[in-house]
Amino acid sequence: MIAMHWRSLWPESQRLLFALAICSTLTILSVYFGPKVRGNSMQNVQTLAWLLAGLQWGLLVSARPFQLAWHMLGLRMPGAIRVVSLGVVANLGLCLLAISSLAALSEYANVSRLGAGLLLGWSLALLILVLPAHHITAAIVPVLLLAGTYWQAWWPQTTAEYGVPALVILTLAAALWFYVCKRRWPILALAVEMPLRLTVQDEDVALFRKANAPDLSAGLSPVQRLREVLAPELKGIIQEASWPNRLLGALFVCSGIGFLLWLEPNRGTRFVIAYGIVAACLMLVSQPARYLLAERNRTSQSLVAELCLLPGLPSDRRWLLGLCLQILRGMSERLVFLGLFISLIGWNYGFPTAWLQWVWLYLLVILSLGLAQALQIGLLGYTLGRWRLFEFVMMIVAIASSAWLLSKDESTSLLLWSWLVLLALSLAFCVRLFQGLQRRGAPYFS
Amino acid sequence: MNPEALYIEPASPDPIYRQIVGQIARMIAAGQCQPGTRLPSVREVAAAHAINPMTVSKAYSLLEEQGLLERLRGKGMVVMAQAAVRQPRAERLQVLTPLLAELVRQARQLDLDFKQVTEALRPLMEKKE
Amino acid sequence: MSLVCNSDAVIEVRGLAKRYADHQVLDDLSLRVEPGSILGLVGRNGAGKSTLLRCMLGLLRADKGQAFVQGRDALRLDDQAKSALSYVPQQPDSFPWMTVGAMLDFVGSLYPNWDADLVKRLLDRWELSRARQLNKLSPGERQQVALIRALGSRPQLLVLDEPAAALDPVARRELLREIVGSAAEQGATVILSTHIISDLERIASEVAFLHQGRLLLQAGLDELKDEVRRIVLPADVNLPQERLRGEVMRHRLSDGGYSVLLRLADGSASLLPGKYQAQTLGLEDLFLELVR
Repeated sequence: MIAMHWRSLWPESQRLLFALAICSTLTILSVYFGPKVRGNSMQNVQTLAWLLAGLQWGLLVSARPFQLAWHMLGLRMPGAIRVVSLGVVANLGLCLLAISSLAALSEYANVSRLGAGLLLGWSLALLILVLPAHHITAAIVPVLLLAGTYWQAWWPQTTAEYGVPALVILTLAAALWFYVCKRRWPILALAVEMPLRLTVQDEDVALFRKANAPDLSAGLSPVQRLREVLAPELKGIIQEASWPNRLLGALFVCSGIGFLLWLEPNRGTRFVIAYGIVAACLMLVSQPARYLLAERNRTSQSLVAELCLLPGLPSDRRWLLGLCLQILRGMSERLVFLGLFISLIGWNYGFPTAWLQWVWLYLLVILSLGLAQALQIGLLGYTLGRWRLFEFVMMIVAIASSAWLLSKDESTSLLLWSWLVLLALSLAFCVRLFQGLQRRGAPYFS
Repeated sequence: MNPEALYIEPASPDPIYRQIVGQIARMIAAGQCQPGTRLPSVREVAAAHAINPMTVSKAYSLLEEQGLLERLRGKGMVVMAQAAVRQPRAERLQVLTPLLAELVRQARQLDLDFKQVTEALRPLMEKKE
Repeated sequence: MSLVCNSDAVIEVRGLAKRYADHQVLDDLSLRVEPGSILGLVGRNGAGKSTLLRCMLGLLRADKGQAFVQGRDALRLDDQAKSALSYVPQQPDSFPWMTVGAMLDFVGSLYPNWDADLVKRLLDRWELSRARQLNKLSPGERQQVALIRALGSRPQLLVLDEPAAALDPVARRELLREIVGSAAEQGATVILSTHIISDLERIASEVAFLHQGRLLLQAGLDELKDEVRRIVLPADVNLPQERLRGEVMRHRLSDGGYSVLLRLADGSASLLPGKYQAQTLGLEDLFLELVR
């Protein structure tokens, strides 16, 4: 019986490998960059890397027992508590295994601190998983995380300073999980919602999608109708939110940036900005593709039916253009916000101008790649697998470029030119894809 | 007896147990089921027609009460030996009563009197099968 | 509020009330289900059938009232009680990432009475492959897999929410056979809500009509068919104001006449002149009359 449980507690091998890859990347990076940072901060950087490793492991892998338990509770199946306990113990066991294997390596002096960092990251992940899957939560949590790493006065130094918050957060997460389960709110915990967005096969958990009745009133142009039929996923934030919400959003963003600018930069935080945020941008890129993939995989195929059969939508030529523009609109909005954010922080932290220029090139590249990905996956029926690999490679290249630009002052123009070439290539790829689709004609869905 | 020999109409206003009772009673009266014939078990009938087994056992119990079936150990429900003897006329007429009541009601609706109805009935009754 | 109810009913529900926004979904509903019975819940869309089933099992907390499963509070079921029941929701979309085989193996390890042979037989009968992923199946196949999961645990209480909605007629007949099979074999209690009235007429021993969150009528199916009659009176007949003996309800028709539902233990409607036919009703017609 335990054998049966064991297999169900872990996600698919693809996702496990992905998580392991991230873990090893982080470890390698911390080994490489660690000694480059002076003095005490080296410890901080390495601990931070382990924290991030624990965080992503928790989000990608440890979420599975919670998903399992959630479905079991919804069907009144026995043994839900047992499953969660087994899953948590198994994941904890893996963490401890990682720590003990670390102890064998002589380079890391302070094993207990690193282990505590790992546990803190993992417990933070669990806390995120059991938070309600509401927009507000999703918006606040990353900011809190970021603020937490930046708080210089508060930056933990000893094992206890990592370990005690880890235990507290674990207890909090456990309490919240039981509370959410027992109350049986219609709000899902993020555990059920979030990892599903990171999986290769997306599942349609449409709890918080707004009722998507297309507004086919006479006043809308065909392109606007197309926009209405496509979900909020693809819409820009400005397009979708009403003006009080826009005002609130702007206030939120400005205050967030102001707060972070007010904090004094230190070495550890540069690490997060230069590499962490840069890598995180890539997550945004595949969002339209994932949405289109989820809609394609839905057995009801209702979006496809609506797009093909609803009257009043733009004709062939304008249809494809409208879709591309909508995708670009949504993505570019988010990337522009991020770009402004990064630039401001980077400028405040004294990053070289070349780096700032590179960031915008990078964003443009991934914008065009995101469009290409959405078109290939949504309309041509490609799978996400190949693109995942490509994204991973892109991430490595981006982090490497960022590191290069930050460390060296000369010969940066070569790097910038190569990225410009990359931009041109990706734009050309997009255009070719677009023309190929237009030649094919409707219906575009394969 | 094959459970498929019964014809069940779930949507009929007649409850299923009554349909089964009526059909088996008619089969016995017509001689289709000889005395000693083993009837299919409750589960067999329920599975064959996808009906509630309680309905079938209710029907069987009623038939047992009426003296048409008996329960034998090891064999299940079996047609009674005496059932081969034709039922008294009163009982046979009782089976027809609801149909006659319906006939009367329709006749009244169509404004036909007794004489006209019997005249219509006569050739039908006298026709040889 | 008592935590235990001292009856031997499998499910008992007292005074349930539930409100969503401005819509009263359940309104002072009380219901008992005796062991071994097959109860059919009939109601229009939005009558509260799914909500009632979920409140019954403790999946939803009602605003007022209580629900008991095997005498225990439905909100506080222990593992033992959960092992004896199975629930199939209206749109079964649980464990979407698992394959059919993996899900059935996993669920099988949770229940003590799991019948792997039955599961295998049903998978073969319905031609479902074990290797396919659940989120890639069609809605009908997903419903079939969920039903196999529910039946495989050989439960004492089987709760099905519109189980046959997406099934083809052959699969539907098979499902009914399996339900009566388990009812016969282990004396299971079955509660199912469905729109397909002909299925209910086959297998239900009891029927409960839900309308606008209220329980209109709960009675044995045979009794209903034996006892309930409808009489349609034209406009020129003088119908007395007070209720007739055994009257369930009356509706005024568009031409001024009345349609009266009577329920009499002896099945006779002898109060009215014999010219007016006492119509017997199938379940569907009865339901349409009740909710008119």
